[in-house]
This record gives sequence, structure tokens and C-alpha cells, in this order.
Amino acid sequence: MSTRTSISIIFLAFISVSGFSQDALHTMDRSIGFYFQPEYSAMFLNKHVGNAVGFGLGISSKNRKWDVGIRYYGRSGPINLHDDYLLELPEGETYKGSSTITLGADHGYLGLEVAYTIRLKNERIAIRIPVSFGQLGAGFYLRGEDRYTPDGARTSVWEDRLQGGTDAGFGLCSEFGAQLLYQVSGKNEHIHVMLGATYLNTYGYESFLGGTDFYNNKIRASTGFRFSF
Amino acid sequence: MELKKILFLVFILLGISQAKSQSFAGLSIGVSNNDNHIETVWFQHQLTDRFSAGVQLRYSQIRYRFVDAIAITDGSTVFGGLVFGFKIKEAEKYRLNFNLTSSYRYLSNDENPDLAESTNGLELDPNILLDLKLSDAIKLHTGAMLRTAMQFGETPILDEQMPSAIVLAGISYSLNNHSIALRAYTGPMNGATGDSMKYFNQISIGYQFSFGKQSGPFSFFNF
Repeated sequence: MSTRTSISIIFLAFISVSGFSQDALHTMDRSIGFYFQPEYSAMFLNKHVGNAVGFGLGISSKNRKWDVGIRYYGRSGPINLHDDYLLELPEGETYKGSSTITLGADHGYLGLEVAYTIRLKNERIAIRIPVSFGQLGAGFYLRGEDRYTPDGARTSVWEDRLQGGTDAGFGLCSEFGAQLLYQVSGKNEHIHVMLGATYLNTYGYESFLGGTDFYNNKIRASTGFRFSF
Repeated sequence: MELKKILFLVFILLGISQAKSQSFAGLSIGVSNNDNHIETVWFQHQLTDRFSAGVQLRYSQIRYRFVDAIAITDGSTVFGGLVFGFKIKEAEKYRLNFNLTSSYRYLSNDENPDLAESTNGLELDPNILLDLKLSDAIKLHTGAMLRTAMQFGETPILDEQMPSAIVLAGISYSLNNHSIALRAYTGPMNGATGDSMKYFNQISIGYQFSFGKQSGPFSFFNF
């Protein structure tokens, strides 16, 4: 039998499976679970309460007490429009005729997350204790009309030039916190609202205007949902 | 075409029809901070209980996109791509899916004569999508989209868009073979050393018609 014939038979067997059985659907409920937690965070920074959006996503143990997954969120510039940083350019240097420019700041975090969940006597309420460790990237960037550079070059070229190549930086970051989960409906165990507080530390992050403590030793409060099964 | 090839194709089509599975056709319109308006049409076919495949075409009028990682505010895009849907898990009240939309992108620059008049690229939209049944007719959809995009050609930019933390939320209403859905995306974006969308918002409304044997309480919905 030729390879093509064999592939054809396998392909036809594959697409001809018509088993849309509902019977098997209920047998997996106590297998490995899944969780997805979209969240909004308020980050209590030195001079600003930053807005951040992101999610946690991963799998849960069979007893639904342990979660392992990723946490991914960002404090993006366009949702922090009033968080301005003034950069005084060196003597004699200007950008579009100005010696002072206003920069925006942004940040992103991607890390591994492990969490333990404690179900309280009232079964609709649970406390979740997440710990996370990963990489943080953050920087300062030109905003609005300043993103259209005078010579038509890429904006990042000018951002590097104006900030001595240190407009952005990377570092490691750890997070530790607690979240209160409340089951929205007694009839649906898959949807919870979430309120949380997280303490974060950064290691090795430094940028032109950020300094080492821009995100280090900070708290963020978060709210969102938890979808799980 | 040789008779053997024709018979082979007919045999495949017969095989697909033997599966007696469901197909979906739909269209949506939307707006985002990338585009003033986006129109999408799609066709998706359930090949097995777990796996579906389809095609998607999209047109948009540009609000803020990039050519050679430099922003433009006037132009248009056309996307043509394949959509693969994979059901990871299903129960009475929920379904967990992994969907991948893989699209070729043609971008026409109507604004900046210093840049290329057009570019070609690839956009990959892997989605982890959770469908939750609120009632027989109403479903809640949520999940994460890790959009990745790249520009090809004379100035290749492979990290034009890095996988980003974009959250999606939607709600759909189904009656018989008809569904309508409202879907929103929001989240930070990064790539191209900062010369990219820094934040992404999109809202779309869509209609979908299904035909063939119904494969379960959840419809495919990806736009």
C-alpha cells in the first residue's frame, strides 16, 4: 500500500467519525480542571495609581485546590494617559523644537503562577493564595503627535536617542497575594467574582526615568472574574 | 484532471458528508483602535467531534496601523485565512476550545508616500476560548487571545506583534440554527521595540447560521 493511500485512508477514517455522543460529557468533571481569570488591577506606584489589564490561565488539580499556570498582565500607556513623565533634554538638544518632552510609561509582566485555594464553610466563598515569578519589562515612550518623528524614522529610534538607549529595561519579578472568590450563582459553580491584593518585588529592573524602585516593593489591588471547572 | 484524482476528491467529499456534521457560515462588523470598521465573513465545518476547520475573509479601513513599524492612519487591509477549531473539553454547562486563525494580510497604505504603498504579512490569533451556558439560548464567551503578527517583504519585521495579554468577552443568543453574538477584545499589546499598538480594543457584532446535524449545545463562534 502506498504512503498516499495510507494517508488517504487515515484521513477519511478521521473525518468520517460521526460520534457526537453526549454520554461521555459528564465523565470528565473530576479530571484535571481549567481556570481563566481576567482581571483589572490598580498598581500603587510612587506618584501614580496605574491601571493594568491581564489574566491568569492554567490548569487545576483534580481536587481543585491547586492551580498551575501563567499570569500575564500589562500597565499599558494608553490606559494611563495622565501618568506623565517630563524629560529635560541636555543643553542645546531639542525634539520638534522643544527642550522638554512629555513621556508615557508602560509595563508588562509574564510569569508562572502557582496558587492554593481554601474553600470556606460557606461553599460559595473561597480564599486563593497565588504566588508568581517571571519577567517584567517596562519603559518610557513618546506620546501622541510626538510619535510622528521629524525625520520619518521609527519612533523607537528617537526614543533610544533621546533617552540614551535606556528607555526600556527588563528584570525579574515576584508576586505574592491573596484573592477572595465569591460564586456568583448558587446554581453555577463555574463563575466567581474575584477581589485581590498582591505584593510585588522586582529584581534587576532599572530604566532612564524609572529607577530601581519604580515597580519594586509595591502593592496592586485587583478585581475580575474566575471561570473554572 | 485525471479520473483517479477526481474519484479521490469525490471520495473525500463523500467522507465529509458521511460525518453528518455541522457547518457554520457567518458575518460580523466591528470597530477597533486599529480599524475604523472591520467586516468579516467565515465558513467553518465540523470535521470530527473535536476538530473543525474553515476559512475567514476580512476587510478593514485603517484607523492606526503600521508600515515598516511606522504608524499610518489611512489605508485598508484584507485578510484571508484558515481557522482551526479544537474542542479541549465539554460538559453540560461549558465548553473549552483552542482556536487558531492564521491569516495572510495585505495592507494598502493610502497616506504616507515615504513608505511602501503596500505590505504583506501574517497574523496568527491563537485563542483559548471558554463558552459558558447561561441558559439554553444564551452563552457567555471569555478567554485569551495571544495575537502575533509579522510583516514580510523588503523590511521584514518578525516581531511586529508579540503574543499579548488580550482578554476577550462575548455573549451570544441562539435560536434554532441562528445565532447572534457581541464580542469585545481588550488588552495591552507589544512588539517591534515599542513601535506597535500599545493597547488593543475591538468590539464586533456577528450573525451565524448553522446547518447539518447539530453536534452539541455550543456553536462555533470565532470572529
